[in-house]
Amino acid sequence: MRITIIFSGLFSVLAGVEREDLDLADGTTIEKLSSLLGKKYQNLPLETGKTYFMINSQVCMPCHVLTEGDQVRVFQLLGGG
Amino acid sequence: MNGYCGKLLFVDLTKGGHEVLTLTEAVARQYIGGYGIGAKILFERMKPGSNALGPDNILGFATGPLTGTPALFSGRYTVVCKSPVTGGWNDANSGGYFGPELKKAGFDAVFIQGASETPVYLWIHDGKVEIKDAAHLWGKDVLATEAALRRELKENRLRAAMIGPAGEKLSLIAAVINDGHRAAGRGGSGAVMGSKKLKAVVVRGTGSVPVADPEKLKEANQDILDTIKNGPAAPVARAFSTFGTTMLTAASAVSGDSPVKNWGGIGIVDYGENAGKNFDGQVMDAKYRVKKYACANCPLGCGAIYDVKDGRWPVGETGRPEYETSSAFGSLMLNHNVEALLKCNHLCNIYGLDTISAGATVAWAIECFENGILSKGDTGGLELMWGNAEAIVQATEEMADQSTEFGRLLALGSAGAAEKIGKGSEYLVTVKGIELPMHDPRLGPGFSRTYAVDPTPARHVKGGLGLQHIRIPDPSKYNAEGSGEPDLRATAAQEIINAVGLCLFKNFAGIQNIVWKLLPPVTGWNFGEEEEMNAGLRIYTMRQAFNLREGLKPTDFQLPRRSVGEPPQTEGPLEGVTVDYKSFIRNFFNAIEWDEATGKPSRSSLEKLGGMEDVIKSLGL
Repeated sequence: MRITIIFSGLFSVLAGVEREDLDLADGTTIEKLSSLLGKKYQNLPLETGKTYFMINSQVCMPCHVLTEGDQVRVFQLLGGG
Repeated sequence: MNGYCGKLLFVDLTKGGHEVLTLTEAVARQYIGGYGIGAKILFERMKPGSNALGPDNILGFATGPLTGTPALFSGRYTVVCKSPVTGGWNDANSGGYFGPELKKAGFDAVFIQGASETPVYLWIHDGKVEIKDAAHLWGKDVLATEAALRRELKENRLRAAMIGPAGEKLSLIAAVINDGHRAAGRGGSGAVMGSKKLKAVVVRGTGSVPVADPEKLKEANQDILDTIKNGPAAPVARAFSTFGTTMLTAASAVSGDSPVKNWGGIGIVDYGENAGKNFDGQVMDAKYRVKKYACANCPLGCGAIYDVKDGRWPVGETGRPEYETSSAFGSLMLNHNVEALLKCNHLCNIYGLDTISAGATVAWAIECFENGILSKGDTGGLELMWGNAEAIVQATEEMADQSTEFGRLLALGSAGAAEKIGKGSEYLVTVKGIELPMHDPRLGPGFSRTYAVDPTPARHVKGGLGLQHIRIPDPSKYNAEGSGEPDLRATAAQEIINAVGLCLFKNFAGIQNIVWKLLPPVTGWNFGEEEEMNAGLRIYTMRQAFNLREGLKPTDFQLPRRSVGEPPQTEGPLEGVTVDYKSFIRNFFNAIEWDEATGKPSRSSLEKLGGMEDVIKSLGL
């Protein structure tokens, strides 16, 4: 299946791209996607439990199974003034 | 005493004199510095019930023990006073170079009481103190004032904390500005300065602050630099160094972190798929950035100077807006126009307004206009609609210069404006009159407790669980069970960070335990865990004691319902979220041993902290 990754804010700086299409095996979870992104973009601080994966404006947990055509927004949030 | 000048300057503008008192090591060790020492002094010396805009209010500019030393991240100082908005304790801190220069001029803090009949400024240079005429500066903006001061004092290296016309005209959202674009913004301290007819505190010093172990401090600094360069957060630190807080804007706008449409909207729905993208540093820097800006002793340098040469509002050289400003003048009013953001930020800087409260007040006015509370007659003909950049800039300019009746209304802040017109209170998003900052408790539920309970309400830079919560996607963060102790510990730790004079943005460099890397070599003090916790809570409690003595109680600090999801949103990332804020608050009160109804600390908790005898006596505990 093909999905689209959208890197937001800090993550777009660190990844050096804003969007990327990925071909993934059926049944891929957010947790697996995080692992794949971590290998591909070693600058991304994909700390467990501190990275948001948002699909259709809903935050998804690590066990969430991706589906064809998903647009996955990936980002971290930090406080600042 | 290492880390300190050991001198506190007290200036009386009514009498036109000053005195210098010794800062004892006992007080320094108990209250550390910044607003810790500020709270101790104001509690001791200010009469309860003083008019915040009268001569009895005391306005303080206080540094910490790291300020003025070579310690990294140590460029901050704090302005303290009684707030004309809340009627209680106020503190606001700022970066730049003013704080270190005050220390080098010979003082840990300067406290100003009384009021001058005519405009004056304070000139503090190498231990000398002069009150000088400022009639020729009154009415000038911040940039023009600083330039004039450099000319007339023939000192290019002076630093000045000052008010612009907004503070002179007692705007309740007026800030104290230093270095042209660094602001001690919140709570109305600019109005307090204006009420004293004090245009500026100007400092220049060639002294140095004694350090207990310079070699160890050097090693600690090197350790921090190594972590920034090679540590696990090195890529984040590099990105932050380049783009500053603007790298937060886009993600915060889509995630629910940034409030949208005066807290009634949903980022990804109302602000759009590319919400906040225009205000991302990568986009803005490409067009406007001319140079980097770093505060004193900062190895990151998260600021930047822009040059807006053309377009609808060519303001010329100006500071890059921070995240809070970009959100307040962006998502909060559905504004996508970068030039309007830059113009509004510039107006706030040169007239001396708090950008958070200024943006939030315009957003409140827009919602009032959209719902018929304000008419075109009230706005002087402005079509004050969501996202109308022309109207947003015009309203901000009128609020800054108070040239119109509508501008004078907005200059009161949203709560003051609603009170004056007798309507629109249903659209206020304030705690005790202070507009909430740009992190939403519906995403970071811990902020609900911090915004409502901290003695300086509605602040994102105060301690608690909020900053931790916004980092966590897992919904378990909404469960308040067991929140009291970790909330208390995070709060106490943040009090120390603020009091020693450190910048919160050291967080972006991933440096752990930075206070205890830097404070021991500077002061020679090695706090144990208990002394650290007690010092943090002592400062926090002293600020609370100030409020209690002013007659404030917890029910005066009500959270706006929208900010906690009452009712919850029906779509978007915060769909269905209602924050159990009452439990977060109750758990904190239990942990700190304060009475939930009265806000009073228990006598035993104060005795445990030590150094609180005057509070026990004053509050009749």
